[in-house]
Amino acid sequence: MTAESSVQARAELRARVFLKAVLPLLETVLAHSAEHARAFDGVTAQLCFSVEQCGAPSATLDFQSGRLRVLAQSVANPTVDFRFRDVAALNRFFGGSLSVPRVTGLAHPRLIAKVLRLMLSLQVLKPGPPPPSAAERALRVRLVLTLLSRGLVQLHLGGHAPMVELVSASPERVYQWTVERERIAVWLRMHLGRIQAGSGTYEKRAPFVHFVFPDVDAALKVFGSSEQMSGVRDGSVRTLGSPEYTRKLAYLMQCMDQLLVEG
Amino acid sequence: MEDVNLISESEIWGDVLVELAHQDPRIVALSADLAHSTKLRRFKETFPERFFNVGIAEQNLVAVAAGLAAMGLVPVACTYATFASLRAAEFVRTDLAYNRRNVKLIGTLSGVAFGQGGPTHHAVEDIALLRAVPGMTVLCPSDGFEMAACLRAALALDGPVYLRTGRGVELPPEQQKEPPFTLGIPRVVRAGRDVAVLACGNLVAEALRAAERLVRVGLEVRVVNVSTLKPLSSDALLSVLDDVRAVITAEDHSIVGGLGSAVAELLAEHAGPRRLKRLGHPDRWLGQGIPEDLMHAGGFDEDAIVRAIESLTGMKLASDETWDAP
Repeated sequence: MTAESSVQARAELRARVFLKAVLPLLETVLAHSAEHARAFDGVTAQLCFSVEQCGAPSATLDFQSGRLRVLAQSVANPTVDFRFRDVAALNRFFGGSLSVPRVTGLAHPRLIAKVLRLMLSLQVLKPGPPPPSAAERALRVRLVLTLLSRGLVQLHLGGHAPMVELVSASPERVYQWTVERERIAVWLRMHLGRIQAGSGTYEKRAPFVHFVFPDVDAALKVFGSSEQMSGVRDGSVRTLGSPEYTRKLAYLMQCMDQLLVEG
Repeated sequence: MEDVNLISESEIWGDVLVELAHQDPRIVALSADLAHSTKLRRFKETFPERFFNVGIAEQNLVAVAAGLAAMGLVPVACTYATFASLRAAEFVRTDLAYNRRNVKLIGTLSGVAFGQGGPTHHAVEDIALLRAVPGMTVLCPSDGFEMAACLRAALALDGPVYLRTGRGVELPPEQQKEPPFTLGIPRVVRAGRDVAVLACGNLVAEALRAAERLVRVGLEVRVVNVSTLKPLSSDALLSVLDDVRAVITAEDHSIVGGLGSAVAELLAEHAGPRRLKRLGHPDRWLGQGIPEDLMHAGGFDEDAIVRAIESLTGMKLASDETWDAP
């Protein structure tokens, strides 16, 4: 792989994570924020995000009577279509830098404004001090954990070599993250090249590695730190199960974090 | 290996040893240059005058411990299980067992717990070897909490005892406190009547996880923690197997000479016909790797227990084939 194609592959992986792991977090925001849910009450519309490049990832926000589903592809005749020149432009847009897509459907300015406001709610994921309200702190942790599990799925499906290596060789194993007090949980399951992420506790098999946070504030402390093992030492997280695979997961979580923040 | 030391469970028996040494001034500790990784660090810091590092010389470790015991002390000698049992085998047999010295020999990182060290550092023959030595007591606790209980029992016993431990990060199969422990008596840790899994060491937790999964197909799996490998009471063993027809043994040890063999011997001599499946380290070299991967490859983990139970009962768990699409 040449340096240029390597850069392009990484940009495509980043775009995949933005569209298939970050964008679906809007479902979580709507499910847990009454204010945002009210804004979309009764809305039926489809908003596409795509790239003018063959084979590039795309996604659609599909609102049906106020209920949102994020589809992993574009749809025909959307209400609004955000079309980016290339994946780099899409990545700049989702990374928070200036990037103006070609928009069709400008006849729906209020819808576009509402959706952009909803998307801005994901700014809560950016590094910074914990939000003041307990509900916002809980939402932040829920979003971080959901992004983590879904993002790792996309790393694998997008061909990230260390993640592919882990998943390809893995017997059926479940990695679980749990915040005990607020009962927030996500899981990641893999088996010989196949992978699945989900919310809650995976019930059919006990976790192979379990990251347990006593509460939301402890989780925020760990995710705000670059050194996960410091969280183990001060009791902000307990890890149950294989220490070697705990380390591998921690490394892959850092890889994904790095992918999302790089410019 | 540094992360292992961050997990407090592995420190429990080291702390209990210090507590017991405060009560009994005869207790001394010996290490073969592994005080840190074998959890004797706190003992060394608390009782420096009662701690002896003999260097990387395991035969000497056992011989010195036997000598100290001959002088009326109660030595606790600790090193990796593979060196405690194999390298020092003749010293254990002659100095400890034949002379009936009151030494407690602790073998850490037993089975494939030090998987990355490769077969030279795997201890999968230690139970077989030491079970064959007359007068030896052989214990294999399931986690750090039971190890603490076993250590108390071993120190209360006058005679040589071999205690086999894992790497200290085992998932505690029960509550996070010392369980009841009676020398020689297997303990039912999960009730069930369809099939019994007799397990020791870290396989107790694996068996409990397998049993939990099999509830979905209506199977009630009895899990029995056999933490005393020798002396193993035949009456007690038969009483926990009284009403089950299918038995599985599971251990992080060779299937030759360990728990499976001990159970097969007792069943053959004292009980009627039962279906028996032994799970453990196969009779071949597994190579180097992460412990959980070696256990999976060798067929002695949770999945292997589930498969063995499915095979014995004819009941099969449906696999979850829901995966995320590319």
